[in-house]
Amino acid sequence: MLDKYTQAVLKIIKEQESLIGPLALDLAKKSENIVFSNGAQVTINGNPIIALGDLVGQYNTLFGRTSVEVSKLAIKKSGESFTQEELPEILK
Amino acid sequence: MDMTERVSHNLYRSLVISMFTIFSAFWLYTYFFTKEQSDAYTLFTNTYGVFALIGGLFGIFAARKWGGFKSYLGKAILMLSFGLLFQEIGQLFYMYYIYVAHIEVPYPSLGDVGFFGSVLFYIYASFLLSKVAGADFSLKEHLSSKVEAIIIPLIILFLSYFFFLRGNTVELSQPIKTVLDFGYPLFQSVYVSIALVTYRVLRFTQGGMIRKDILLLLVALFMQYLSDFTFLYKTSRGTWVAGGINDYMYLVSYCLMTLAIMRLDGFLNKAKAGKENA
Repeated sequence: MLDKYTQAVLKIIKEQESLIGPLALDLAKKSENIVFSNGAQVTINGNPIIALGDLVGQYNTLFGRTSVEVSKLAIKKSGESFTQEELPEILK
Repeated sequence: MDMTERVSHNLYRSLVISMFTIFSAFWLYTYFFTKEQSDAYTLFTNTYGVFALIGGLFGIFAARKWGGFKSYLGKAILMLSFGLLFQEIGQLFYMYYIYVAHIEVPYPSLGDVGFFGSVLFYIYASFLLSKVAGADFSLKEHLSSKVEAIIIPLIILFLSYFFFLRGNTVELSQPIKTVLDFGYPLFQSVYVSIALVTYRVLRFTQGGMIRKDILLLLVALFMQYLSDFTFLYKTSRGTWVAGGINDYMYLVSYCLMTLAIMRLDGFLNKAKAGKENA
């Protein structure tokens, strides 16, 4: 059973892929706190809030606000509930 | 960015810019120093479409890297590429009708499948680009965007009506011509309206390195519209000439679109290379 942050990361990558294609996964693989193994298995190292913020920050640097809004929608679609304190600043 | 990819990318761009410079010089020579309908005019008219071919083929390969039909941006590049290729198909058919079949004005003809088809591709492309630029979010949040989304299409539609539609008559004996007479200005106004609304929305995107690349695609779409508008205007008044200023506008438009697609491909390569090279 994946924890809610991992679910959120996977959903964000999937939604970003529908916007920008395979680059979404390539960028996620560059995140220091997100580790990919056996293809698409994801593990979050360290603080998950920072990991989530770094991931969305990468998309934001390249694709601007659209990518942030898409990430917010992805979190809603993931079905997991997050309090404001559980989310990075960029996703509030 | 991988060195080989960087070299080949720069090579393609330099090739297009060099070709554009040569074609521009040739057109200036033709326009100012030769008589209308000279062989030089004919040569220019029959060859500049190669830019649409190059841009279209390059775009199809570039779109695959963006996920092709599976992503909005990949689909947008594919639609722009198909639009370019359909422009070239239209050009080739018209060339055949004018120079081989000796039909002076081959309208409507199979060439219009290419030209009208390209308009449909550009409509879908501009819609997809608006999604990538975040038009949905801006339209929900900003009243000014909502107002612009209403006013811009109205202005464009008014211009289309004023210059092209108000004089049109429905000719039941020529249904295809009637559909195209109304369809060209109406459908062209759709893609340019979406492109202009998207351009206005970009001010709310708060950064994003891709902003400039999308902007260039929108400028290319606008140039395409200006070319189409001029073509309709000049043909409706009987002042259009092959190889004239309007054909040069199309050359600029194809070249801009090709360079915009290439720039987006360069952006992708840089983004993939990541922190160490970006």
